[in-house]
Amino acid sequence: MAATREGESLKAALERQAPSRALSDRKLLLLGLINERLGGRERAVLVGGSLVEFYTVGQYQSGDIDLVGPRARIAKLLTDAGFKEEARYLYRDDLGLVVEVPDSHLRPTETVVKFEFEGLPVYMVSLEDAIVDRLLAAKYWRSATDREQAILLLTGHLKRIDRAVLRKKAAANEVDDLLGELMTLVEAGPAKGRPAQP
Amino acid sequence: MTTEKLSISLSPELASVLRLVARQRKDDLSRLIEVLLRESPLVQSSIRRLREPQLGSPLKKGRTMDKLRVLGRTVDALWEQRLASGKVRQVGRDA
Repeated sequence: MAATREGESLKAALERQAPSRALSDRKLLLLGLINERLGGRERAVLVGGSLVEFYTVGQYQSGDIDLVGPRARIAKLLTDAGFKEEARYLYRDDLGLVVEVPDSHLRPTETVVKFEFEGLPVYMVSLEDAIVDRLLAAKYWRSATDREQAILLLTGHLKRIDRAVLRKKAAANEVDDLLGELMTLVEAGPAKGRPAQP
Repeated sequence: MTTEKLSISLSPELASVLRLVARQRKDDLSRLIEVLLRESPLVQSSIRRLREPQLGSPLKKGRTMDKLRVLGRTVDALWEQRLASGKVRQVGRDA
């Protein structure tokens, strides 16, 4: 199938702008360029580990970019832009970019927030949703890594979090017990005289 | 079209997630499983984490709360810097 004009313009924009940037910015650039080409009705929304990378400003780094959106259309854009497809992943080795579109629908409790990265539209699920996503993995998959990431999101954004919204989303996803436990840890001061325990 | 009786065993974690979904949909568990097996965005969303590859460098296990608090202050400062630079800005939010 011939490459579309959108795919070719994505390729040109990436090859012109991506190489000079740090990987975190390169990921946001790709997300913005994809959304610019999808138009307003369809969106590629950042989720997963790369979302945590965004909200922790790179203090946690994820290897790939997880998106929720119209998979077939995103895959066509990326393959036209020179990405190869293998199993579930679309990648360009030369740019260090790996994309997965594991879902086309968000969870019912997830809210999309629109940011702009250098004027390009980038969509994320909200900070509160990012925390709940980590709490779900911490609780149901017993993931210590996700527990730590949830704590980091809480400690990094405590003054920005909408606590009522966070509690409501946590309750809807049955992780309000874990949220309560972690909020107690986060709001307690540092231990005096001996190391605090996680 | 014949109907097969399907017998499956669920891990406690998956059973717990499915019970939550059934409750949200006001449905019973066995009917829900039939529907979900025919492809549901909600169950795909719930197992999204299972598919997420751990390619990056996650936080090391066993970091103390003190370390996470310090890192949290770094996150806070970097977030403010990024917003102040204008490189990233929030422009909207779905209802």
